[in-house]
Amino acid sequence: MTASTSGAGGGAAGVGAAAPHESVRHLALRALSTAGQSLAQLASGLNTAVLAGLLLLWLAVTAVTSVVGVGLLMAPALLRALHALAGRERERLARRGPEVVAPEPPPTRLRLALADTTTHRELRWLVRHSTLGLLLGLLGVLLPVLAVRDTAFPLYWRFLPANTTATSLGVGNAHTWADALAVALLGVGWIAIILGLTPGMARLHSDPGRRLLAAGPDVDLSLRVAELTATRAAALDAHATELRRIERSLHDGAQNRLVSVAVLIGASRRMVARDPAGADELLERAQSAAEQALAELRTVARGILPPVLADRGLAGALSGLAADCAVPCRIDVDVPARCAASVEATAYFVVAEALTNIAKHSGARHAVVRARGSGGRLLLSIEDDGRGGAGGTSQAFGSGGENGGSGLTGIRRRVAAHDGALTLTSPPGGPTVLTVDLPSGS
Amino acid sequence: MRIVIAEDDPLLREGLALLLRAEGLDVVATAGTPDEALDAIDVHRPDVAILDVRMPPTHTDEGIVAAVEARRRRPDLAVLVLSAYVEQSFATELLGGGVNGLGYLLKERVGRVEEFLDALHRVAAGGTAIDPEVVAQLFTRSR
Repeated sequence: MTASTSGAGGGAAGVGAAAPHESVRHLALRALSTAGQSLAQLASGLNTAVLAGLLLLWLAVTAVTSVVGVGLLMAPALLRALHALAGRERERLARRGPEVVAPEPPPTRLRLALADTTTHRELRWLVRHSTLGLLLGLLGVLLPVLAVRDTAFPLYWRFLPANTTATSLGVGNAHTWADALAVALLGVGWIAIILGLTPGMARLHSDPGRRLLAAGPDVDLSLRVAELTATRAAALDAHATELRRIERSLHDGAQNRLVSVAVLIGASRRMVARDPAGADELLERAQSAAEQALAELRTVARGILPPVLADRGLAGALSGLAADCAVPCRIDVDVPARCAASVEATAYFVVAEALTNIAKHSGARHAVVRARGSGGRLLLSIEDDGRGGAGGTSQAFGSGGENGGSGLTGIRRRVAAHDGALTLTSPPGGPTVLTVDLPSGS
Repeated sequence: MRIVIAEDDPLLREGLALLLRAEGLDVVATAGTPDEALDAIDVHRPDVAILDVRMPPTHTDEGIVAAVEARRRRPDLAVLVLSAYVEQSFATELLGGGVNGLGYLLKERVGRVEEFLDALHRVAAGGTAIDPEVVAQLFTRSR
């Protein structure tokens, strides 16, 4: 086998199988990013691990006092807290990996709850997470600190008071530069441990959660399936409605205009010999019909996917909307990665509709549009300081109807089709806040 | 020749009326919905009724339904149906009740004024006028 390009050899142990010809630089970057992610995961798990530890203490207290009966009163609250914590852990795991499908909530009545499998699994998870999970989380936070402390030791050892222990392990005293370098070497060792072990540690840390908090093999997921089926049906429905709307726009608008053009030109050709003035008037009408057809086509195209999104991206498109709005509008867009085109189009239409209504009905003096992309979701919020009361009557947000795809109903449909959520808070007197949460589909 | 036009798009409706009046034909009434069309046919008793297939409220086949109904009320009424696209089921439904005095044309055929007037006269005289495009499609399918 021929030797691969410079540096594909050695030093790659513990970072997973190296692709042939992958340079050392790539390997190192990959190792660093994996380690970084693992550390972040361990640190975020520390949060739930600490809470789990507290809950475990509470559990112990409850168990002891239920002998005298007091614990039995606390038990339902304890179980509710356990379930809430398990939910938080599921969300945390979902943010950093595949989703953990939650089983149905366990019953609340004490006797039933104690017999329920979900409760048992959650209790087992609690024990594991509050012990091993807490340990691993602490290590995850501690290891980088130790690594930095030891690797940088030669830089500051001169400034330490005499006889302080040198290493973070609490042994040894450094008296010479050779000793200081030895400590730095220990720091390098910490770094190696971080790079090598943290991915495994992170997996060990999230394993109990993934195994025990997910729905067990015997748990009935039919409710969840029904929910997903309904959402999918709604999505297909919304898709079909959208296609029908486009077809209607094209057919009734542009196509009829073009037929008119054909008719008028045919009529004027018949007239041109007998009555040139009349023929010219018909040609004039034919031309304006053609121009109307073009305008219709432009509207239809914009209603499908606004060209400005492709040209300038979501931030540019939203800035354009804000600039066009009659009410002074501030834009705050922080979307690091591009979302799926249909999601960006939906976001664009939401903001366009909201700003139109703000300009027309709210009497606001100032509006703010915020867009945040994080954790696989796109969050929009449009706020104005107007008179509020929107959404109640159909006057403020026009019904879909002929325009379809615009108006609050149209926007709701588009958002629902993406499995997103739309909330409109508009008390009379204002302020009005419209928030939309969409999966970014990236 | 007395003509009633039923077409929901106002621009096209006026265009057709203009075209026919310029040819010296008498457009006695225009309508935008199937009900208006049937009323106009009852009141003015034209020789030919020109109907668009798609009209409010559902924009599917109101024109065909109105044509069949109008011919049921007055079997000697000549009807010319205009369609934006060829739909074989429309043709069969329309021609199912007898082909005399019936026409089924694509809308843009109206722009070819001589052919359109020819079809109009033929239908008014009791003949049949089927769009060449429709014929082509029917023959392609039955092969």
